[in-house]
Amino acid sequence: MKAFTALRRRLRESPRWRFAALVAGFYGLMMLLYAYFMLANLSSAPQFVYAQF
Amino acid sequence: MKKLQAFGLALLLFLCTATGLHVLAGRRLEFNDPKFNAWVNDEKLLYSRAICENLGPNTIPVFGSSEFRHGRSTPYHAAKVLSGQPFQLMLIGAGYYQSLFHATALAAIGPAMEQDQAVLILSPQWFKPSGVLPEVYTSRFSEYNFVQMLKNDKLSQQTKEYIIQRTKQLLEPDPAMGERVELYERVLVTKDASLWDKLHYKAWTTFLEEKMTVGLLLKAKAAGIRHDAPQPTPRPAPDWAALETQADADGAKANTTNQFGMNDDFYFLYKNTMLKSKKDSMKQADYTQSPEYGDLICFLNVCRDLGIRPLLVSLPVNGPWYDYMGFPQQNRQAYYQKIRDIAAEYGAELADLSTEEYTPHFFEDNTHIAWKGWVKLNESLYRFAAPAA
Repeated sequence: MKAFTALRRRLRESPRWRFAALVAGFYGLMMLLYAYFMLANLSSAPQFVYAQF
Repeated sequence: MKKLQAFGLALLLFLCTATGLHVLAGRRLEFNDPKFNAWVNDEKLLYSRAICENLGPNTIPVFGSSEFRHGRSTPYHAAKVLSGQPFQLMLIGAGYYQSLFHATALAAIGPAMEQDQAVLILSPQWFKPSGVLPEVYTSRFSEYNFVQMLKNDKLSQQTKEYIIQRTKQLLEPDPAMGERVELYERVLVTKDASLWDKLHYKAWTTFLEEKMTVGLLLKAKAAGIRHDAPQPTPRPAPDWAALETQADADGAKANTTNQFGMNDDFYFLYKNTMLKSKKDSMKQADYTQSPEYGDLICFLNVCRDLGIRPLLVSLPVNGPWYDYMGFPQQNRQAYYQKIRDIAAEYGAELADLSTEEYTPHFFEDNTHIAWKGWVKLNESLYRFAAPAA
């Protein structure tokens, strides 16, 4: 907990760390968006249920 | 300002990552694993590039449908019986993949084929009066394969036009896809695309290819398909008589309860749900009038345009079951004859299994081959593929 609060203080007080966190945040969001578009089922076809019978 | 700079740097990092993934993924589509050839998965079927990357000099595409999923756990599946032969089979198909899909797929992979043979396994159920239903086709449609088909210069304009018009007709339940098909037609065929059309086409097809590559690699990994799998050791020609004897024995163990040749588990399920309602339900049925014939002829025209020698495999119906449903024998024979006539007219070799309707242990359920059915099918495939390998 102490290490976490120390890291948090460093992020808030250090401009360099704040900038890095911002970059990481933007990058993470872009990768999430990328992953969504790569993996989501974007088909517009109506659902069809395969029926063996 | 800081936020803008951070965003710009993040964007640069993201573009580097995406480019790196793109290059890495593109190189990993060639699997060098026999499992890929027999793999039945939509990611593979809808992405002709993945199939092309795994076509060897002796790989013959075998187009079919739901039979590929059945028998995989038995020793009779083609992937097992024909392993180690001087040719390889690339199985392309799953439930409801029919002639039009296969014609498009063949046109898409044609340029990558190093040999000149292809097989189409015909299920009689494809030839219902409705043919392939629009709802079914939209769920099986591959716009990537469609684009590759349009790009194939060896395909005649007439064949392309047939595929385009049939595709548009069948994509009615999916207007968004229908609009993209028209976009592809404007860009690649009629060449009257606007600048916006061309930009849209480029952006969308790039995204589509990326998405399909990533999707396929992930699914392949989940299916255990490797990049360094050991290759099968060469084997002599299968002993067909011994396989038939073994298939009879295994079929007899699995079917002890019914006169339809269905395995006991399926029959138990069917008996409790559908059996009574199916009796005499097909007294007026007829498989001789169907748009599927036009699609089949289209497949044969693709073969002609690309210089491919086709083998048509005419599967039978489950004789005892179809008798129970009241499907007139005369109409069944008329269907088989129509397939023979088309094969003769278009110069296709034909493996006519229509006489196997009553062969014991040919089917495992109402429609799918098993045991002896697979042995007979494998023998047809072997006799077609082996002499040329």
